Order: sequence, then structure tokens, then C-alpha cells
Amino acid sequence: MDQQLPKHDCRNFVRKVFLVLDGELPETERNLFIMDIQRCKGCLEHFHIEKTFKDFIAAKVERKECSEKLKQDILSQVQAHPEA
Amino acid sequence: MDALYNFAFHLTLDEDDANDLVQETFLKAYRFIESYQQGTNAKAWLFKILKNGFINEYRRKTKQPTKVDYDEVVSYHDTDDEGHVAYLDLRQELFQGMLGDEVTRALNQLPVDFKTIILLCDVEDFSYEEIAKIIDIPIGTVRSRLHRARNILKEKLREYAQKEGYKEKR
Repeated sequence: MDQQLPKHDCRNFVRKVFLVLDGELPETERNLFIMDIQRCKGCLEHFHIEKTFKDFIAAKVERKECSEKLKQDILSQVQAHPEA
Repeated sequence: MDALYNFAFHLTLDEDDANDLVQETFLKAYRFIESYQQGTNAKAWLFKILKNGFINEYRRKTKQPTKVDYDEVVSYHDTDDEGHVAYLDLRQELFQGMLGDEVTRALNQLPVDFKTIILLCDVEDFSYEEIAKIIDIPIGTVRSRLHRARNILKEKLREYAQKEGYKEKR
């Protein structure tokens, strides 16, 4: 597997880690990245930290829900001005 | 509609203002529905209308243009070639014990441009291309701003954790 991969470069990890985590790389490139970082303990550890942080933000940031009253108000206004 | 309201609330930090902003967004969308391009992401289009509405109201209230952080024009590639020291690391042990309230408070303390980009990317899961269209910036700026925003948020969480006595294992 390593023979197909170029020499590991931690700078490449820093350039791509967020692209991978944010789903911005094509699957093939993503898979190569994942294989590549298995060869560097530091990069692998940082990858898991960044992934955990991203998942953590998504899970912990409070999500407010729209009230039924607001939904009804918007619907009423749209219905009151159908020509708008 | 919940996602839109959530975005509005985090921008305004006020339930009444968020209600007004969402209402205004839907009415504008309805009025200008012909400007929506079929086949494109309708959610992103609504987010863009809401963001513009917020910026206009913000400018009106402050009577000044939104502050631009010129530091962010520093390109991502200029800052990323220092290896692992190029970004802040927040150890898993540090933040896993934190509560949602603490994280939300830290996020809401960020400058609005940084808060916006984290909400769009990490909370709403928009792609860089969609974010670029929503906030009218190039994709390269999305990357660099996101990078800075995450580092600032980590720094705030780290400060909070240290203040509260979370132990950092390094």
C-alpha cells in the first residue's frame, strides 16, 4: 500500500485535513489521504482531534426551533398577499 | 424553517429579532421567487436572503458598513506550511466535558463573520461553494475564514476550560 503513496508530508495533512472533514475532496483523494495519515502517528492523532471537534460543535451548539406562531404568521401573510 | 430560524437567532441573539428576520426572509423569497434558479439549493437561497437582511439591518442600526477583518485576506496557503503548529489543537479530553450552553456561548461571542461561517459549515453542513454564494465571498476566503474562525473558537473554549479547571493533557 505504501508503495503507491508518495512520501508522507505533514504539511500536506495540514493543507487537506479540513477539506476531508468538510467533505470537500473527491472520494478517491479522501481515501488516499486517510491511507497516508496512517503512516504518521501525529497526523492521525490530529485528524481524530479535529474530527471530534467538528462533530462536537455540530452536536453541542444549541439549535433553536421556529415557533408554530411564526409559521402561522408567515403563512397568513403570504395568503393575504397572493399577488406579492 | 427551523434551520433558518436557528441561523437568525444565532445572528441576532434575540428571539423577536430572529422572528422578524425569518418572516422578512420568507416574504422576500415569496415576492422575488422568479429570481430563484430552479435546480439550485433552495435552502442556500433562503439563507442568502436572510444573511443579506441581517447585514442590512445591522448596517442600519450601526449606521456603518460591516467591519471587514483584513487579516483574513492572508491566504490559507501562506499560513499552512508550518506543519502541525499551524493550527490550534484542543485536546479531546478538554472539550468533551463541556456543555452545550458553554459551546453556544463561546460561538455567540465570535465576531459575526466567523460565527456565520461556523454555523453554515459545521451546524448546517453547507458545502464551501454554497457558503461562498450565501455570503458573497470567494471559496478561498471561505477556507481561510473557516480556518481562523475554528481557531478562535478553540481558543475561547480553551480559555473557558482553563478557567473552569478542566485539565489539559499534553
